[in-house]
Amino acid sequence: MCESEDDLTPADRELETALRSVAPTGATIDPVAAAFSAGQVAARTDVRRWRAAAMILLVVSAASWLRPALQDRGDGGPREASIEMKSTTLVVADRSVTPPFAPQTILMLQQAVNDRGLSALPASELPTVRATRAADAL
Amino acid sequence: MHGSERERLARAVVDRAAVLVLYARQWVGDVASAEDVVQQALTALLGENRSPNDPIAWMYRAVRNAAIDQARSDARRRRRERIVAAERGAWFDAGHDVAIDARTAEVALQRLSPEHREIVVLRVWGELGFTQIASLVGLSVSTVYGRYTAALAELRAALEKPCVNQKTT
Repeated sequence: MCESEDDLTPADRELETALRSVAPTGATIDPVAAAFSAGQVAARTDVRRWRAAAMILLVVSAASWLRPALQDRGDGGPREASIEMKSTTLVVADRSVTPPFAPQTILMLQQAVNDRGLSALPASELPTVRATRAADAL
Repeated sequence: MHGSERERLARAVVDRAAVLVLYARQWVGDVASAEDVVQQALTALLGENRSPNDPIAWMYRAVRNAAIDQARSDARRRRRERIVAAERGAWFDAGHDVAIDARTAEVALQRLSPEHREIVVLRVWGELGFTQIASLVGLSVSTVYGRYTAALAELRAALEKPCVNQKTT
C-alpha cells in the first residue's frame, strides 16, 4: 500500500514543488499580544484559584466557630434524647440462667427451718473468742 | 512552560502564520477572521502549561477547531448580512519567480472538495507528513494518501488547461 512520502510519483513531486512556489498571502499575527493574552488568562486562573482557596478557608473557619456555639446552645436537647432512649430500653431477666440462692439467704433459711426445724440451720462459722481479763490489758 | 520555550513556539508559529491563515481560510472566508483564528490558537498554545509534543500539529488542530467554530458563526452572520464571497481577498501572493500563477492556483484549489483541499494545504504549504495529517483530520494514513494523490491529479488536470474555466475578474 502506498502511503509514504517516498511513494509519490516524480510527476506528483514536481506538481508539489510548483504549488509550493506560490506563497500564501502574508498574515499579521502579533506574538506579543498573544503572549500578553495568554498571561492574562493564566493570571485570571491563578486569581480564581486563590479566591476559591480563600472562600473554602472562610467557610471552614466559620463552620468551626459556629459549631461549638450551636452545641452550647442546644445542650439540653441531646441529653433529654438520651434519657428517652434509656427509658425505652427493655431489660429482660432470664430466669433459667439465674443462679440458685445461696444457703445463707433469709429465704433459704426460712424454708429450711419450716421443713426441718432449727437443726436445719447451718453451723455458725464465727471465730473462736478468747476470754480476756482486764488485768491482762493493764 | 518557560519563557524561552514560549518565545520559541511563538516564533515557530509566526514563521508559519501565512500557511496557518491559509489553512483557516478553508473554513472562514475573510483574511481578518482567519488571522483572528490563528491569533486565538497562538494565545491558547502559549497559555498551555506544558509544551505539546508536536506544537505545529497542535497549532493546526487548534486552528482547525477554531476555524470550524468561527465558520458556524460566520454562516449565521452571512445569512443576515449577505456578505459576498468576492470580498474575501486573494489566497496567494502574486510573486514573480513562481511556476504557477497565483490566481490560477487559487482557482484550481477552490475547485477541489473541502476534504481534498484541506489535505493539499496541509501537505503542500503546511509541509506536514501523511501521519500527522491523518491524525489531524481523523482518517487513516492510506485514506489521506489516496485523497492527496487524487487531489493532485485533479489539480494537474485543472492547471494544464487553466483558461477554460478560470473566471476573469
